Amino acid sequence: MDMDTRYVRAEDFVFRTINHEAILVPIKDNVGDMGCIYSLNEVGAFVWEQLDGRKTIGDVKNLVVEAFDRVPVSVDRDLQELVEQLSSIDAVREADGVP
Amino acid sequence: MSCLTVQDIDDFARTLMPRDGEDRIPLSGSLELTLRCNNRCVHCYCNKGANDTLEKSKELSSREICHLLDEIAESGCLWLLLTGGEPLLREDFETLYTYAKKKGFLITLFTNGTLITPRLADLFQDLPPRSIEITLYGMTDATYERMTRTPGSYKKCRQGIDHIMNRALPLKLKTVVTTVNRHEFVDMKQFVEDLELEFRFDALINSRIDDHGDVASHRIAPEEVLELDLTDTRRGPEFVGFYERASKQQGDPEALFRCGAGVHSFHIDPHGRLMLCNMARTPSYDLRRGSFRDGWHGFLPLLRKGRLKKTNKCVRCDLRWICDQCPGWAQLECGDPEIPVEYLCEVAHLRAAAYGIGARNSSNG
Repeated sequence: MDMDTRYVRAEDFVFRTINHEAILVPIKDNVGDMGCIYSLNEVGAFVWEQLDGRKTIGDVKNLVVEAFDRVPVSVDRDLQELVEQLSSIDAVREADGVP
Repeated sequence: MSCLTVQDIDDFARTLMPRDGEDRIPLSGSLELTLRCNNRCVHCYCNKGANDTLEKSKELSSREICHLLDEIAESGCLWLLLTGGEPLLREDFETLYTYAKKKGFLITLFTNGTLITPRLADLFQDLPPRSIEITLYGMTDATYERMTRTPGSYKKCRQGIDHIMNRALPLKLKTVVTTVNRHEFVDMKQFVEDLELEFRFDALINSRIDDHGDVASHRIAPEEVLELDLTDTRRGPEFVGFYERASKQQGDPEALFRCGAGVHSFHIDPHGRLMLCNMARTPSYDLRRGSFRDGWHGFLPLLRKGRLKKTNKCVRCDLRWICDQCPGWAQLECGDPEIPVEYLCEVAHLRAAAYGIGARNSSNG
């Protein structure tokens, strides 16, 4: 994964915390699966909030490392997997232009 | 490690339900946008005239409702029922619906379907609800409109259903069975099943929230309720399963409320009154004077602490788990939350006998 790529959250998903569970709720018919809820773990929720179109994936990784005590060695792969999953349901897209 | 997991919504719901000892969470709420309705159904428990200006003047404004939606979202509500009266009568419905969707609620809409336009159906297509539930009152103009007492309503309802079906939106069709439309029950069921939709029905009509009209006279006999139950092969296993699960729970036998109202659900009326449910309407908490958070954490728990003050045949009745008797029903029917509703008692005993439920300690109906 290119660590210089920047991603931005889609407005078609609403991030909510319900009873300590972080979830993404798809609100449009053309994104995700309306019959599903997308649950994020603590790291996933943190990453979601960083995907603002200005930070690169490298920036986000550094923030994860700073914010969490026990970051697995697989953090690069986990981050890549998360962004791919989010992209596949159109919850994020690559940001245009220079921030 | 996977940071994102995909869950079916119903499975997710089960993981969220508070267990004994855990905090109460307002996961599920119903919001009556108005009590006004363009139909005048004979069985309805709450409807006011569509042009009732006094009633309209008491309703929450768009701004107040949006503020309320902010508050209940913040408190953890995920499932939101928009109901009425007829919610589509509100001129700001599209604004309110869009706002609620963008807060991330999973919305169910109860409507009579007569006011669904292509434009509104397009909005639902763009921002789909979890489900739209339309009540069918008959399968002919004559019967439907004897129920609604509104000329032209049958045709409009069918048009509304077409608009939803044409867009493949998540539609549920149901009926309330009364003495007026009982004879068209089979036709309604067939119509819904031909559309490859699930058909649901209810024949237990509760009393009105005011003293305007006698809905009880439109109830079918308890024996007819059972006849209808027996036409639905799902009902028997549902009653038996529910009885078996519920009767094993260690509930407080002296508690007035035994349901989930106020534990994981709430109801708000069009005037901004927070209450346990749409039937247990008093006492209530004025959300125009206090916050939802205070109402949920400070007011509703006091109601939940209500204790039985009387001894009646329901307290130890083994069939209470399959009986619709509850404080809300009793309050509306008898003006007292603890008085048994005899109609419900008769229905419960008939069901128990038919499905072989609870022979140990049942009251005599």
